[in-house]
Amino acid sequence: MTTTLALGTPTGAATGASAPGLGRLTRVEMRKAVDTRAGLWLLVAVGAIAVLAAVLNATLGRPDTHSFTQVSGSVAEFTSILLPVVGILLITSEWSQRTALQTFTLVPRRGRVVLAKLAAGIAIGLVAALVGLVLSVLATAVASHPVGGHPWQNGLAVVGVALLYQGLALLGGMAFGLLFLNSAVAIVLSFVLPVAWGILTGVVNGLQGVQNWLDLNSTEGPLLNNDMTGKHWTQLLVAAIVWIGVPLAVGLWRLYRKEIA
Amino acid sequence: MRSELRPFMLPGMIAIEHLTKRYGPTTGVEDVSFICRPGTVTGFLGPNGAGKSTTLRVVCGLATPTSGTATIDGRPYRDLEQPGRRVGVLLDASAQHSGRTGRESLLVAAEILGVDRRRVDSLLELVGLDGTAAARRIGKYSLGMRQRLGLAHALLGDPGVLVLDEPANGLDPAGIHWMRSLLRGFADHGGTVLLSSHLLREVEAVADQLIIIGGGRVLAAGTADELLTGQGVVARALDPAALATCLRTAGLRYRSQPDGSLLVEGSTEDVGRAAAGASVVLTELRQPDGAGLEDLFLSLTSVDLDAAASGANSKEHAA
Repeated sequence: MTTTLALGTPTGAATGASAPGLGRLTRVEMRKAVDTRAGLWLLVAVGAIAVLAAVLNATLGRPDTHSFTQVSGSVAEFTSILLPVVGILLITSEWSQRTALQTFTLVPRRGRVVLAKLAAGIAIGLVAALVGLVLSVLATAVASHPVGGHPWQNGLAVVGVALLYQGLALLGGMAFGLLFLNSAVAIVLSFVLPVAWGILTGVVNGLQGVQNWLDLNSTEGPLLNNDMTGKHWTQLLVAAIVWIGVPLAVGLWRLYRKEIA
Repeated sequence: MRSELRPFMLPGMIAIEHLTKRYGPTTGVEDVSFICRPGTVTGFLGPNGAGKSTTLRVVCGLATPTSGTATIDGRPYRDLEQPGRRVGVLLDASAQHSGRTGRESLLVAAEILGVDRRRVDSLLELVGLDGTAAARRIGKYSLGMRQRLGLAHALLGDPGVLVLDEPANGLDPAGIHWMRSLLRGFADHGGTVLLSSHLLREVEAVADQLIIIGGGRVLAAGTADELLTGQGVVARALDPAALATCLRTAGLRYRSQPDGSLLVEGSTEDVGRAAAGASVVLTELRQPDGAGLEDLFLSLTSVDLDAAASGANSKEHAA
């Protein structure tokens, strides 16, 4: 009974407690991404796809396609199919599971919560990239190579590209999640909209020039192939602003004005 | 800065002043004002859709008021440095991730609050969710278990203030009794409690102050006794007809009750004098009991049914 009293009794001891810092909130958000069965299995699925992609790349194809650049690019492309969903759910599960009520009562500074989620998402993206890189190194090492080939050429650049690519995949997912605040809508549209846009720009003549600037998939192509020029970087930046920056900004603006219920 | 303007503001005080929240053309709450003092339990009563949840969401910084203010310790909730350590909040027990275990959901909150993990286990024990229940996923919890978990969440940061929306929903009678004594103990040790309910019986036993809201407006406020004064007194006599006659003579208005007693508009002294003057033998003369409060609650909230309905609409609008 004494514990009961102590627990149900306000002591006011914590009056001076300070707000949780960004580091702690980021750790909390990473924990929330893996402490449910759905979240954990989603990450396991991403890992399984990466393993599958690495095995296929090491065993199939001609020897001259077994370079580190190509294996890593392919592994990154395969894993980034599901990776944005991790980012989407990081945001939208707060609404589909209605935990936003508790999250924003504990931390009323909504921007800080979103910042922690972005940091956690990017961290998860980087971990996924590193796992993919380790698998790609193994796959490249065991695969057969053409005589006199240089399978490890541009190794450092490949590492950088994989980190950037997966970071963008997570950010893109979170941007869509924040824009729609609804798991189903955000997931479906994150798959459908880029494809629809790609078809549209392919069919409509006037839009074909625009595609190189406004289609994130096609602007990321040179990145994975490791032949980025100055123009390619500008195109990637423009596409990232349109597909990631704008939805993030609009979503954040709406979140600040929204009633959490 | 605000607290300097309000010297009367005590630590732990919840102050709601002229709070109005509109959703487009519909009104959620209109000019709501009341104060919850440390050491007291405030029962926030009203039918569904009266504006209780809207008010509590504004108090907790989840909604922005159209006009007016809601403060705790003299500051808006959003300006509190670490609100979870000052205010324990339970707004909706169902708003928990169904895939997380009860214990894990508390551990996540404990990490945000910087609270020792051991407190999580003590609280699970306190609310009766220790052992296997704590290790189960919340999706498998009954509403009563979710309420208990929600109360553990609210108490986690060792707050001085509790804000609870319909916390008795889904609890069995023993659970309701347990929660009442917990809240009573919390207030008796200097804590401030604000709890809402649409059922008078749930709160009248524990609340020091009742705020009755309907159609987004405060319809009545005060202690149970204060609310009942002005409701008249209950009088019963050996000869009801003689009592009625002497009351009419004395100019006191009355209403016959189904149980044969009369509800008289006046004080016990007025009725006593009238009866003594006419030598009528009284067998009962008292303030109305809880049933009177129930009548008051029903009459206050049902006259406002139209307004309450528009309140319900605005709630849907918010969702």
